[in-house]
Amino acid sequence: MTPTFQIIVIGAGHAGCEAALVAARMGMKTALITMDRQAVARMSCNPSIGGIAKSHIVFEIDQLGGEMGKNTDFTGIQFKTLNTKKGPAVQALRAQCDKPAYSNRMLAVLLNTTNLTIIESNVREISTSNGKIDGVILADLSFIKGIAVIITTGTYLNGLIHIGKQSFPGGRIGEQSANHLSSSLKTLGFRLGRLKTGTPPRLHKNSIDLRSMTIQPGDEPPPFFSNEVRQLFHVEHKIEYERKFHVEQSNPLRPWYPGSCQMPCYLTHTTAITHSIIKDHLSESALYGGSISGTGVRYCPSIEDKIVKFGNKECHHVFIEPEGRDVAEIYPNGTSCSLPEKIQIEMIRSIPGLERAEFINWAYAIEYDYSDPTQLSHSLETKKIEHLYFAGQINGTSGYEEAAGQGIMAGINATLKIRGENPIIISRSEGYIGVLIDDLVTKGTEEPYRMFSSRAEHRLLLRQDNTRSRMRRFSERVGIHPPEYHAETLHQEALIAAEMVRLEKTFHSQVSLLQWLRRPETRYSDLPDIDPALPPEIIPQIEVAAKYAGYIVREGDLIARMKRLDDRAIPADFDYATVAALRMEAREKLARIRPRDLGQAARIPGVSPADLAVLAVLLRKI
Amino acid sequence: MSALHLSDTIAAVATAPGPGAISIVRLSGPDSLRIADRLVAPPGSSPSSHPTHSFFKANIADPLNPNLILDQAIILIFRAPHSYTGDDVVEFQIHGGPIQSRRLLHALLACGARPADPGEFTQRAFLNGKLDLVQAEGVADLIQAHSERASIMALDQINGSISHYIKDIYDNIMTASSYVENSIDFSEEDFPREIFEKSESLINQALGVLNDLLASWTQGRVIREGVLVVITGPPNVGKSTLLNTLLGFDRAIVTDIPGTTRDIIEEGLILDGFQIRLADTAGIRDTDCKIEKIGISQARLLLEKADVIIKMMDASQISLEDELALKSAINSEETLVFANKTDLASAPNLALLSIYSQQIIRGSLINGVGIDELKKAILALIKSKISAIHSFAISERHYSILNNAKNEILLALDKLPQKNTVDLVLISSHLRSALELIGTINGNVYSEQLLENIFSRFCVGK
Repeated sequence: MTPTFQIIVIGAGHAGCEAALVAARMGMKTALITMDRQAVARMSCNPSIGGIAKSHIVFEIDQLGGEMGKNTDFTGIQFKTLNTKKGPAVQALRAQCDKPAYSNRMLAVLLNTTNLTIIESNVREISTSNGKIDGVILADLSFIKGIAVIITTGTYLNGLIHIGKQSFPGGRIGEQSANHLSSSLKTLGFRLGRLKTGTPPRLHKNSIDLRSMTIQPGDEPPPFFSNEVRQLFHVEHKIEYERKFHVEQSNPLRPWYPGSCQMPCYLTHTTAITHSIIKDHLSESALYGGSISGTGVRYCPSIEDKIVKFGNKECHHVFIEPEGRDVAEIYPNGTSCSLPEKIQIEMIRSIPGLERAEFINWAYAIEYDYSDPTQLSHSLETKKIEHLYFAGQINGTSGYEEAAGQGIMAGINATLKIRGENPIIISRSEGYIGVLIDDLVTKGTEEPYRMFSSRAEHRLLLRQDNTRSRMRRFSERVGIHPPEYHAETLHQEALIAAEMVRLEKTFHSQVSLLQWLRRPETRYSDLPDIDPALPPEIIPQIEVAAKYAGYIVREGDLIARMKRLDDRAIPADFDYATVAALRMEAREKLARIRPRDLGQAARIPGVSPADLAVLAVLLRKI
Repeated sequence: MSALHLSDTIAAVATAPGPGAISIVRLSGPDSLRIADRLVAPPGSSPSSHPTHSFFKANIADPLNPNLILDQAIILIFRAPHSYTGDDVVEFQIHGGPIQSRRLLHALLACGARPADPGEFTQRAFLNGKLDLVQAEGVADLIQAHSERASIMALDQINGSISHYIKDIYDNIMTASSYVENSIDFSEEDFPREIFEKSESLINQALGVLNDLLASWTQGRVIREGVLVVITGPPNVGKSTLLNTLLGFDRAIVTDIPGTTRDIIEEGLILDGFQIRLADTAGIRDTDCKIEKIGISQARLLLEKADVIIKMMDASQISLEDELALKSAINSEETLVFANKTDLASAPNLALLSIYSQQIIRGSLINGVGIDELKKAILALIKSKISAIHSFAISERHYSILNNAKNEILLALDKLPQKNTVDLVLISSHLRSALELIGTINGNVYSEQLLENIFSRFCVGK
């Protein structure tokens, strides 16, 4: 009998795991197809989760009922708050993770989830009938029936790895690529493009001399991503918990006490010798020698790029990051390249502390197919084929967090569609996930898309501290967190509102507490009259509400203005081609992207205010 | 996107540019009546107290300077939805002339109206359901056509030196913004102090250029304050008589005693639609009188600010000094020479003056001779000056955009000098607003340029 599922997820990376988990947790009979179950949620590049803007995504995933935040908290070996002195809106967390522990824990979670089946295989083809999904065909030509399919295949589609002049097919180093699936998508009519990225070599930790490097420890107490770990493993509970927690209790789900025994990173730098080695051998690099065309990723430049484009810089940082507690690999962050092996050795050994470095893996560049994300609607469903969803690196993004954020949304929306409900679409003013998806489906991308806080025009509102409130109404619909959880969120919102009133009305030496709190560098705890009963997790929100008051109002006005455009829906079958009053460029772009409302139309590059006014007029006519 | 914001109030001069008997300035939007109320000078009744489809006469004054009466106007009230656009509309019919209507427009903008985009009145009429649906395509074509014409005009205007200034401002603010954004998104450093210094100096540089540009809005000054016409010359040549003659009433005391006028006497006057500030000064001579000395030095100061100088001489007593002054005066662009008292002049003097007949206006104020000629000469000079300025000055729209951008830049600067922490996000929020505003002039899109700028400027890593 043909195995039948409601939702089939292809690929068990960061997007696939979140998609499969959320679907199963929402009650869908779900299949997760992966080539290798030991490789689920594998961190194929840097060993860290979070960072500015990315950690905001992880917080949002956590509030929606996803796994990434928890998985990081339980398997992290170093936790750090970034941007502590640049303003609360852009404060963010970053954690170094134990790579094998991260994968193992995710596998254990998947295995412990009801409704979820892991299938170890390779998908050959997406099967459709009458423009609708009916399942997938595996490499052995067996058929799996499903109502919805979510493709989360990362860099595997036609993956081509480059090391110097050598190149060979592969999804990641040592793993095969998925070429049939790429053809299957082309056959279905999807526009595919080609992107490239790269990764540094991996060095053996015993071959590195840390003495000449600057140590970079984590924060104490460690900050966490997930609500669960923050509640359960709060500093006050630490002693009690440690008493209960014995080493023999260690298991894949809880390998150690979260945040305990943090490991440091180290900082070193390139030298003049490093630079001259790279310059001398530039023609042998895949990127510069012509094997790969086009430019590299600008926000994560390869070391060749750094030397060529920023030639006047005398040295570049190299961060030495552990890949785990009992792991030999060291990740020399900042040295990604596509130079031949021999040159990689020379280059790395010219860096202080790495003079005797031994290689475990070579640095490599990888080219892969991606699907132009403007072929998706905001639910991440393809416009062409109903019940088919794309999420993660296949949409041209980069980064574990961006992938996971799309994965969970694809899982949620595939589920809601099967249930006959409207999709959840997070707006740009409600979450970074909203910014991410709107950017992708509206503007597309020419280079691997990474989230930056500057992409979020409303970032004053999109903070880590208020994620719980921002995500509440979506999280309620997803239904993974229990109703009491949302009731508590509401209660916290009420407490904040009440405290803001009290601060405004309470005066100390003729100054209201609110004015007091608005002073630079004044914290809530510095006030002469505080409410000690308030839960500590809402204090940051009170501080921000006081300090940003005028700005929050201003943002609100901007959002209200934009909302008038967002509320003007454009019919899906609107015929742009016949509107002579639209400029040709606008006509083409609008017809290709098919914005769902005037707000999205306004964000399409190449659509002018006059084009928008024309559209507004014509919509009124309809 | 402003074209889609139905909630603000727009203003524009409705009549064609150029001379005409009346000018119409139109205001449309929810705040029309409130804005119009602020312009009516007491004891006129406020427009908001009038019913729809009514009109009345009132003096309108500059809201920033209520004593300055701009003009007398017929004010027409059309209340929503019974107006052309469907919004509340107030129409001002005022005296024609190139200056009056623009002064009124400025006053409306100062009270919160926004300069209308091309075709915007018609567009609002359509969106408010005032035009037939069949006209939809027609309106759409109109918007696109207007917008193209406007952008060509805008390009014309910002070609040359102005676009250069605007690019300068934009680039400096963009670079400062890149420093800030780079620090937020990519820097591992907790408190990058150099960000302050670098951004601050870039922002100040931009602010300097912005101030220059705003100051170059000389035409705006002429419109707001009027053209300054200063009468100068030796004592007792008839300067005060000229003032009184031009004004049409006796404002200055006229005697035959040299040095009668010691203070500066200034009066407003409208000449063919141009607002003029006419100033009579103390006759310039060597004197021991302390009071007169002060008057003379004030006169010299005023001459430096003058848009037009009327240099007077006595045709009956031409000295060598007069002749020298005459030669220098006729080479100056803002000076007119008026030789008074020709009725008393000797034949040799008249012959001497006729050598300069092209440059000198001859007349006899007592006999009313030469006044019309002088008025014509003054007007010609004003017009040539205004058109010369016009080719350089920024438009109302640009002025209002740049002024708003300046406010944002000042707010960003204000946030910079905090000690050990800094809210980079707030600074960046103001810089971004400033860039988005300037982007509406030069067509740059902030979100598309920022990352480009960061990645080309900084080697971002981890």
